[in-house]
Amino acid sequence: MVKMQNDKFIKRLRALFRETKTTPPPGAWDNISMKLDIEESWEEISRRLAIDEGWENISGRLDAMDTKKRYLTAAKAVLSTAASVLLVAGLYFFISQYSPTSPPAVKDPLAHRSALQVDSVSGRLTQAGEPRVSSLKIPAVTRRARPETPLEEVAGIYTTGEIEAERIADLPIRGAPSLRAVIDVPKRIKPSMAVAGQLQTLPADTTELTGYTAHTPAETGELAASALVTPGRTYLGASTSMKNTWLINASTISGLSRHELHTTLPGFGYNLGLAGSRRFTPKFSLHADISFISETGQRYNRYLEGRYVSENIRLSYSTLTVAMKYTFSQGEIWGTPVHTSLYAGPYAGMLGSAKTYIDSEKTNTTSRYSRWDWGGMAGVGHDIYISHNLSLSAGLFFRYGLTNIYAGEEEIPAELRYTNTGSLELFLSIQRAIGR
Amino acid sequence: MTDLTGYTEEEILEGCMRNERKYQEILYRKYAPLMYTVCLGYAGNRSAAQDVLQDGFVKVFQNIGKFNKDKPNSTLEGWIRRILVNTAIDLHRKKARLNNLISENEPLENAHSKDHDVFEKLGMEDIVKQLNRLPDGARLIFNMHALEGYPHKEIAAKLNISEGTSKSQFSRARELLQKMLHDPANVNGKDAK
Repeated sequence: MVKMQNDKFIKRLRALFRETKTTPPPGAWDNISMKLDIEESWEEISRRLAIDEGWENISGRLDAMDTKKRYLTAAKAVLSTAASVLLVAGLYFFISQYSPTSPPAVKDPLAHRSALQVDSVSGRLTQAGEPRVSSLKIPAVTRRARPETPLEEVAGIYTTGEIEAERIADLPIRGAPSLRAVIDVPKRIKPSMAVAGQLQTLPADTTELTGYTAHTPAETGELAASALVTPGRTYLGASTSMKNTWLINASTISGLSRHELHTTLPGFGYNLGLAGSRRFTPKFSLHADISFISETGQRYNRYLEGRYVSENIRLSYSTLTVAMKYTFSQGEIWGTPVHTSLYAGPYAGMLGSAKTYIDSEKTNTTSRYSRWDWGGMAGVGHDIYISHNLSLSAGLFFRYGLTNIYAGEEEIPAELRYTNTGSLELFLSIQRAIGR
Repeated sequence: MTDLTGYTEEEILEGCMRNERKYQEILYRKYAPLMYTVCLGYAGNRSAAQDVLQDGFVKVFQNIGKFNKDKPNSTLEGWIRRILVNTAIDLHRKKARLNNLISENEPLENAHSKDHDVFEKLGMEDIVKQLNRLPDGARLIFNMHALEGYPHKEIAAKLNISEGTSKSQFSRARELLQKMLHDPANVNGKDAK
């Protein structure tokens, strides 16, 4: 009886709960709808994060991008080098053609040789008229040809190699005093044959010596070489640099890692100014250059507010560099004196302006950086003496700033982003000798 | 208020499976009043009942693709109810350990002789009010067995208690509820453990 009553109670209660409708709170559906929206948003985010793509696929794409970047960087390096070489060659050509101190272009390479004559009385080689011959270069071919060729018997010159001007008159001449010996020997023809061939056409009344390379003082490098290293010799001219620049700080270094959200990219800039040097000893000079515009900076790809942006920090300095220049090699390339030197010294820079570009949006960030930067530079360079008074310099310089240029801002205090400047420069300069 | 008359349950189900908010609201409006009563029975108060209702319906819409309407004896209402009850059980598990039971030593007066009057005298709100006066654990066991028909074995497994505890707690909760429904003023349900 009791059990029946209990069962009846439960059945009635169950029926009541199954059938009774209670109005839900008014905000319940809005809350459900909002929760569903949030869930859908997360699902959408998950989809956009490309969860459906395997990590290997993503990794493969990243690797492919890296490879492309490497090729692009290599191509840029090759193009930059080619452009530099072309620029240097172009300048060299221009200056060698139009410099007033360069010797006039000689269409006839044997023109100066008229100054060398065989004295009909003494039978010795003499110089007459201007320009005076400073040296003779007697080609080795003559020496090799000597046993077979009667040329030298005719010309009477037994000396080979280089003969300095003062010895020209002492050259032993034997045989007939009036000769014309043409011995421009083509390289591919046996000297003896060529000489013999020339001899057959040798006029008996020749008085002019040809066939020997003679240099006047103005066109000879050897003679000028001593003057180039004369203490007190001073050069002054214009200079420029193309450079790869870096802002060395934690952000730049971490951005080189593939695992960071941001990526560090190399910055590029240029210098424009004046350069000069003064020689103290044949080996040591003082080099100085002032760059009115000296750009430095850094580029990044940053993940900012949910998207990737390009950040380009550009700092514009004026710099003064003073360096000791040690000339360790004095050689010659294609008859042009070339000195090779090591450079080392300090530099100081004064900040003109700083700008940060986020994509194309520019912000003046001068207040974030210190007014002054100073550090050291070192490098190696060539001085190409394209004439007695004109030189072309090309060098590779490395600069490193020793000061923290970051002055801080509202969000990042200076001590959290210690920043140094660094750059690798291709230095070019054209300079003219001034004074004596 | 969405007009329900123009849609069959089939259309509503398909709309919900396409995740279309309009059909989800129609489904909600159709079943929420019934389910809210269930939630009130389990939750203990209106605020908790609203939480169960909301969380339960979110689960319903997220899993509606799993509902098999072709399964024998399967109704959408029963499926939604089961999800909401499970949500209530989960909420209870999160809220507190199942230690809020009725003391075995509590002397209870047998009130079933008068119960034929009870459901006529009291409204649903009063019954829910008295039900909510039961200790949380006892109420959960009572609801699961009395209202949803869960066997004690399943209740014991779900709530991690012994089958005997489930049976005795159900029995004592029923008696206490009967007593409270007959004489609400003289029974202190929450202190009954």
